[in-house]
Amino acid sequence: MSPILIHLGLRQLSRQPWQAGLTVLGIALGVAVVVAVGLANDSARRAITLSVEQLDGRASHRIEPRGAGEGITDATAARLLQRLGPYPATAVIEQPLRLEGEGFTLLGIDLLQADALRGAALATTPRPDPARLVTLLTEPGALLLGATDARRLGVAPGDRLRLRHGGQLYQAHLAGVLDQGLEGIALADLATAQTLAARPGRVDRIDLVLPPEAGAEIAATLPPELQLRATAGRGAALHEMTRAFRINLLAMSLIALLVGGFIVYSTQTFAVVRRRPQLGMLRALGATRARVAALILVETLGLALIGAVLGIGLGLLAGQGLVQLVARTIDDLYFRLEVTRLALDPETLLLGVAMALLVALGAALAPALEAAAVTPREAMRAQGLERRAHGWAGPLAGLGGVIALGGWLATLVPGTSLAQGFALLLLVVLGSVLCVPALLRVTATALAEVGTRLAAPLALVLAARAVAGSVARTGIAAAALTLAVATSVGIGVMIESFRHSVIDWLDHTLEGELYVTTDTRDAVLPAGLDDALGATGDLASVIRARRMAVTTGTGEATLLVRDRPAPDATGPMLLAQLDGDPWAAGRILVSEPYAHHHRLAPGDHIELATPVGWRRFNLGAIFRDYGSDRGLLMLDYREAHAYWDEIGFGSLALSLTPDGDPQRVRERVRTLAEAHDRTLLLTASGEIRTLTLEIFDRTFAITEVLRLLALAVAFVGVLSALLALQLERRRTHALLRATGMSRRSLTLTLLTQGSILGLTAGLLAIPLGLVMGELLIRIINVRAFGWSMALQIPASALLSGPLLAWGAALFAALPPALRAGREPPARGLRGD
Amino acid sequence: MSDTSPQLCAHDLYRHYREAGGHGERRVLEGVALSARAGECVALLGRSGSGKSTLLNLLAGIDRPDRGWVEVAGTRLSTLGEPALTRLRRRRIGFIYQSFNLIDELTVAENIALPLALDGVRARDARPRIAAMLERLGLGGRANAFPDQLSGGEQQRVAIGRALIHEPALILADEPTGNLDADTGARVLELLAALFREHGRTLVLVTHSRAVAAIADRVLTLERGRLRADDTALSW
Repeated sequence: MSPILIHLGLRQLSRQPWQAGLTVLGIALGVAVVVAVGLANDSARRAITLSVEQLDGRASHRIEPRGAGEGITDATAARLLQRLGPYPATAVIEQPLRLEGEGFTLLGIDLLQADALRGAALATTPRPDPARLVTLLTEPGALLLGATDARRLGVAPGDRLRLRHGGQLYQAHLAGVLDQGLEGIALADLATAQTLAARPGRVDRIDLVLPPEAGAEIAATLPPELQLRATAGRGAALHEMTRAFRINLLAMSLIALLVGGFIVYSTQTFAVVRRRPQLGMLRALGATRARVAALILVETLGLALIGAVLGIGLGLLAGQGLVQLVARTIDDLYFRLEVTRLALDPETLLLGVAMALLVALGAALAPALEAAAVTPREAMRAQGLERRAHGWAGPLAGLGGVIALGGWLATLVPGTSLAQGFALLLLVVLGSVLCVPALLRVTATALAEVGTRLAAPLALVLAARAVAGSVARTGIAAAALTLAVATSVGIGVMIESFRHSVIDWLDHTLEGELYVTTDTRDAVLPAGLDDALGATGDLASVIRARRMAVTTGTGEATLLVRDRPAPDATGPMLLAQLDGDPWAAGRILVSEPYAHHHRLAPGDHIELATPVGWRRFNLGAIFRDYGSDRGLLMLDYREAHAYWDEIGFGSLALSLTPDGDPQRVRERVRTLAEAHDRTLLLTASGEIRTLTLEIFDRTFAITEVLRLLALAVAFVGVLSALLALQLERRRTHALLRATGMSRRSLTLTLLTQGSILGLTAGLLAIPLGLVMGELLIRIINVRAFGWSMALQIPASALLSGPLLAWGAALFAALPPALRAGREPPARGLRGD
Repeated sequence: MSDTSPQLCAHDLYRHYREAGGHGERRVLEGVALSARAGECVALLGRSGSGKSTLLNLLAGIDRPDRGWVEVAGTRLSTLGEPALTRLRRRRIGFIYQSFNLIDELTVAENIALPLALDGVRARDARPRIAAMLERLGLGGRANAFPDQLSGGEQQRVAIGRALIHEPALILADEPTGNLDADTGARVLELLAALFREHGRTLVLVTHSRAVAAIADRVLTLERGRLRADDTALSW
């Protein structure tokens, strides 16, 4: 690129700072959203990795109960540790809890084995000195925290610490601080941890370091209720668990970038229109078409680079808030996660910037080619592009229609790829959006026609004609706005449908009015509690349930063992079933996500590892379940009892008789808890329902943020287009003022112009939003999570779409309208 | 029959502009005085940059003088606020520009009707006047054409129609034939003169061409910001 041309480009940009500013802003906002989401995703991923590393340490394997059971007794653990002889091993207690109000994991281990097993966490300098180790071993309630956590909590060695879990408060104190490692972990000696986790006489598992060849031998010596598992896959499993959620966020962030691309198109098109005489002159002087196109592309690239740098800064700022939203969602939906440190992979950063530059260059390609295509003579006329726009809007709409229809038809072909699902969604959306300029022109022309016939106010006719006549800019701004609002409508439809389905699911799943559970994860309720409660006259039924980890022929899974429900309770929740009773002996039920991930249908077989060996079950039915996107197996309690002797139960669903007194049941539970010296939690189904919906709403809080960001980017697009239009039509506005149009009428005309653009975009966004919502439900949600749901169209989403678009466009029209109204006509007529 | 009372009176007009970059002042008008009776045509001659267009803008009330005043049809423009000034332009003044300045999005008929529409005249009432004007302009078959479908001469005829449709007291024409070839310019000028005479209005015509100025009753020359009577003034 010649230095003179670069100089010329820079001059142009400095003379039109708002135009350059809007291009930069469009890209900056798009990059900011991508970087913010990347930061949130990467931080969550890093926190997952860190927590797995800290909790598993160097252990290559773990010995743990096979599904049911309350951990491993001290006696069994001691026998196993003795037998493990030469291999480093320790019994472990792991308990999520609140420490000084913050989420932590209590990790209890044999501290004498700490070096060998937990190298990453503990074998750092300075190690706990011998005196501190003695304190940890001998003093009840002594804990170690990482230096970062201790600083954040404002505690020093010797300070008292309050721990809370299962509704109980425990007292502990800080025995020491480790300078490195330990994030979100409170480390204690095993005996202390047993007390603080309320698991006297039991441990959760045994962590050990085994050479690969020793695994089979050790596994063979274990009692049947225990199993040996490699730890290597644990982190990968956790990452996999949240993968779909993180992909969804990334896809949403790319929409903001796409809208940013529309802004670049809009501002660069205007730049070309404005500079046509200059570009024509360059062509007349001998500049090649390629050089003219390159001039526009290089300018865009420069602006996009500035935008990308700004966007990274903005994204890092915005990401701090987003990280907590993502972490809380993962915490709510998947597993306990506390993000204390931000992380952003360089690849994410590069991806964001590279995509921004690609989008910007792609968006600038059309204006650059437009600039290159004109003849020197033609270039002297600013209206050239508009005339062309009239020519291309129709064919573009035709092409868009074909792309959208093709994309939609392709969604009817069965598939499982999430990436392919997003690609098809993008085709449908982009194809539809390409139709917007032509539809806007048709609408505005029709409005002008009707306005003329009905002798409507001049402001309306002029505004409609102006919109129809400047479709190269207004059409693209409307397309950006349509895209943002349709995204908002589509996601609104998806969320409302999802929420509705979850409520329906809760209504059918929460069979009891009251639920009894333990205060400790995975623990079972005292034996005989079901009979003791059932004996009271207040209860019509008691349903026992136990959730446990099991090994299937295809991997790990969660099995819910429960008393079979009344047919009318789960009937509507069964999506597909074999003929006859799905709960019959030898049959197992699976949740919809499980069936989806494992491609199962009624009649297929599932193998389960049980204490009495592998057992084969026939898939009796697939049921709707929104409790886990990994899926769930369900087995009749009596059937399961044949394989797991000590199955116990982790929860009881209590249904009251018509005149049953919940208060009496509450008292009875309290008495039984005291008699068993246990903490029992009694929760009303209403509370569970409320809590579930709270978590649901929190999950989609991040989606709301992204919707608003996409809309903000679109707003900038409309502002840019209307400012461009106002500047371009300065002379016309001055002429109108000189002919006698009042400032107010001119301002009103420009506001009407914004309104036509906004309302048209808003109305077009409704059908597109509904299609997006339907695809999100039918394709994306099913492929990402395996959840199906009934489509619900909320009136609020339909109404809010046009209102949102109108409001955004009207607000964006205000600055140019006021500016036009204020400008003295003489200046506009002079053209300076 | 012409009215003898002045329809336009400008007194001691000064207009200075700050030079680009803020250094110094460019004195465009230095005490210009001008008056014109109803039915009179005054031509303002001057070289490019002599301040002709600035003077025209002051007479039209779309710019304000640094000193002095302008009266149109007995109303002193400096006493009017912005809304009243806008109203006066809408009702009492017609403007014809060198570059036509038609509104691209409006048809020929709509461009001509614009002053009436802005003044709230109902479309039903405006329609016969517009039809008559179109016939008079020789544009009867082009009512629904858009400006970019017209030749330069046709566009300027539309501009003349727009300047006259609301029967203003004062018509200001800024180089009305400047963008037209000689033949077309002559035809447009002939039409302007005819219409102006038919309607008996005051016409101030800015030009740098003596041939164009020949249609005027009086010719004034603007030089170094001052106005002086031209020795070759003609009358019809």
